[in-house]
Formats: sequence, structure tokens, C-alpha cells
Amino acid sequence: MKTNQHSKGLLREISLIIGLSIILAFAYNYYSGKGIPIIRKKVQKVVVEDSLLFKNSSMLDSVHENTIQDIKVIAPLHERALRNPDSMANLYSDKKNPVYKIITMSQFTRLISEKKGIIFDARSNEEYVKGHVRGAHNIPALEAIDHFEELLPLPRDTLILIYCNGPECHLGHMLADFLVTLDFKNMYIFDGGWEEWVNSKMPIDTTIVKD
Amino acid sequence: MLTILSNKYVQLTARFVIGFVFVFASVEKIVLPEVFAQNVEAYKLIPFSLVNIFALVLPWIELITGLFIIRGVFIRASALLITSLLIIFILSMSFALLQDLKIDCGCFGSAHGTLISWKRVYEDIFLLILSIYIFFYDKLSRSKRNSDEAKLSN
Repeated sequence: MKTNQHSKGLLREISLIIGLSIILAFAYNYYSGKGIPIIRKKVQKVVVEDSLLFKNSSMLDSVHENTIQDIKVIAPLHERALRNPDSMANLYSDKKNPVYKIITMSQFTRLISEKKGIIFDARSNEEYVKGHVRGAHNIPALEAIDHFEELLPLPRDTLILIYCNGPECHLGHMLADFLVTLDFKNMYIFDGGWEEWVNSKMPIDTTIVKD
Repeated sequence: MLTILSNKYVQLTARFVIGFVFVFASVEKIVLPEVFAQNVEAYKLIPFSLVNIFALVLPWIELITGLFIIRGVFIRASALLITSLLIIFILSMSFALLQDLKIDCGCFGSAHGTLISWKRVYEDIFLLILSIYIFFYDKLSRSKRNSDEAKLSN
């Protein structure tokens, strides 16, 4: 009889804790500005065809010349960010079903050998220091905002190749989302990432690239 | 042995250790829910559409039980919840390790690439022992208290 009462009390306390957690979780998620949708949406990936990447090799080069004139001034964004420190966070979460453009190992290496684009390593600095793809700049996705000033002068159509650990790695997507908020348009994610790079016995570089 | 276990300072230490670990573990997950959701997703144990709900609520349960167990509120309920969470963590991490998945642990909401490892599993087992101890110790102390009261009233 007594144990029954005990376990009833225990059950009540447990449901109280869980109920409180659910209320706080939803309330915080709603107001925090970095909230996520209650029901998860699939990350959409599109494999880019070779023909699009390499169709006319002059296309990617000429992109710079054509677009330097119409680089968008992103000051309004910056002002908005200053006025409301959380607005950058809002932009992060406002993405509606982003679609990520994916490139394969062979496309990635071909772009590198043709010296096209700029490579961003989205992993943490610790991992970057241990080894990375030659020439890659380290823009850790979680601290991407610290690299704001380095990214600012780049033409918005710069071909950007992003990689992180592997297909499950979210840092690459986060970095791409961040770059979208800065109005960059030409990002590709090397989906195989560092894992595939190492597994394919590709050269590992340890020299640190300064921006 | 029982006297050591029923020593209130031993119990207090156990409660503080487990409480602080859980509070500490919850904070980054609460602040960066998307990162934690991706960690949860990588384990491939929860239906995809439920990943976010799990990732949103779990850190709050960790935080509240952690705070309660430090403060001494609802100790047995908190210990029981912590015990079940730790069992979930241990099982899911073991499954992932046996499948040879190389994924972020997500233990402390870290997005800095702390990979899952057996070491983490052993740490969780240690915490599990502590939480089970807290759960049963509180029962012991309560029944002792009850019997003392009974003696007094006689």
C-alpha cells in the first residue's frame, strides 16, 4: 500500500519534470532566435552535373569580371545586425528548405587542379591544424561570424568549395547557410569531405593558410 | 559499506557530480539546438521527423533534473530520469560503436568533433552507478527515517 503511494508520487514528480521540460523547450525554442522547426525537414542535396561545372571553363573565370560591378552592398544587413544582435541568428534559422549543391571527389579534385575557386574547411580549427586540403582556408562553421571581415571583400560570385568531415557532417551546411546570408551564390559542398579525402590517400597539408 | 553509502556527504558529492555534469551537458545543446539535432540524427535511432522534438526536449530534461538533484528537489524522480537517460545514452552509443559509425558524440552538445568512443560509454556507466546509488540511497534514508519516527512515537 505504502509502496504504491510512493510510486504514485514518483510518477507524478516524473511527469511534472517532463511536462516542465516540454513547456520550457518549446517556449525557449520559440523565442530564442536560433529555434528549429518542431518537425525535422530533410536536408536536400543535389549532385551537380559535370556539364554545369566544367561546361565552358571560361564561364567561371569570366564570372568575376562580370559581377565585380554589381557586387551587392551588404551594409544594410550589417546595420540590421548591429541594431539587433540576434538578427544574424534569425537569418540562420529563416532558411526555408535549403538545397545544397554537392560535388563528388573527382569534381572536387578537378576543380582544384584547374585552380578554380576558393576552398573553405568548415571543421574546427583543431582539426584543420592537424591536416587539411592544400590551400584550404579554415572557416569553422560555428565561428563563421568571426571571419565576416575576411569574407566581405570577396566577390559574391566567387566559386566556393566547402568541405567538412563527411556526408553526415553538418558544419558544411551551416557554413553554406551562413554564406547565403552574406549573399554568396556559388557554393558547392564536397560531400565526401575529409574522410573520403584521407581514405583516397590524397595529400594532407599542414601549412596554415592565412586569409 | 552501508554506512559509507548512507553517509550524507557521500550522497551529496554524488548528487553534485551528477548534477553538474548534467547541467553542463545541457547548456550548449539548448543554445545550439540545430547542432544537437544533427548529432541525434547521425545516430539513426529515432524516426527522422521526431529528431527535432527529441533534440529540443532532452536537454531541458537534463537541465531540470541536474538542477533538481543539486538542489535536492524531487531527488528520486530526478535520479530515475537521469538513470533512464544514461541507459539510453549508453545503449545508443554502444549500438553506434558496434556499427563502426564515426559520429559526433553530442554528449555535451559539442559540435567540435568529440567522436563517440568506449571511453565515453565507461564514463556514462560510472554516472549510471552514481545515479542508481542516489535513487536507492534516498529510499534507504527515507525508510530509516520512517522507522526512527516509528520508534520515537512508540
